[in-house]
Amino acid sequence: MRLPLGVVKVLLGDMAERGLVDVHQTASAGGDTPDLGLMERVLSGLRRL
Amino acid sequence: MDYVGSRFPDFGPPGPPGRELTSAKVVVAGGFGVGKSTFIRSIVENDLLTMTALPPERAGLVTELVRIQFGRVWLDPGLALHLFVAPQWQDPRAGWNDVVRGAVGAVVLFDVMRPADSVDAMRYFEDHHIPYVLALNNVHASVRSDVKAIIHGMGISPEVPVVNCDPRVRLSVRETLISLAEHAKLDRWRRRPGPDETTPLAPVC
Repeated sequence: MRLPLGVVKVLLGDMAERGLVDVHQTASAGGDTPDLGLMERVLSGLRRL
Repeated sequence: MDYVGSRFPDFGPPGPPGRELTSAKVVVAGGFGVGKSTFIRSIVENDLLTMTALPPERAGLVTELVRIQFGRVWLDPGLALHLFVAPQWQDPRAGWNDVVRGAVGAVVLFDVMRPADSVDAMRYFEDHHIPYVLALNNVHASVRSDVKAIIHGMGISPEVPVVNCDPRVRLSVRETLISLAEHAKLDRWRRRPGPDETTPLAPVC
């Protein structure tokens, strides 16, 4: 957590290739805007909190 | 910005291993001391983590790092919501584009004693078409309508929800995030691609 983000990205990229970390799908994997299905999931999840 | 799962025992996913995990992001913005970190601490499961980033415009100067705080709450066994503290607006190192990319939306905390930062943040989100809610912190009921009038007079869209929020109170934070999620969903629905785009039907909320 004390490394610059750019260095961390490279490190994590290598670690993901070797299966040392799981890279999660992001809300916006297909673009810069989350899709409606995810919006609904976020809303439902917040209401359950 | 992608998120990377870790196997830290105190910060791991609650779901079964191997399940597909998805992250959603919300950015919390506003002036110094308005309660951004407090807001996030009230709802996340662990204390905030700090991420250090090189601002893109000054990538050569390693001494000028931006520290970005964030926290995480699991909304269901496969969905983590990450809440990011937006860097101070007046900080020239702040690279907001990276922080807000892919966000579901943003919460702008507004304190009448320090309005300027919040207004800058609102303008940023308006310009970048990022749905946001305005959360009035410590605004007395008697002046709320005046505050709303002033904000709308500054050119802020009247569609932006204005809610009252005490960042110290989990229930209040939750309500604010629900307002944001509802607003963002409506906004997303209006912008959805396809031939139905112009059909003026009310969305199912």
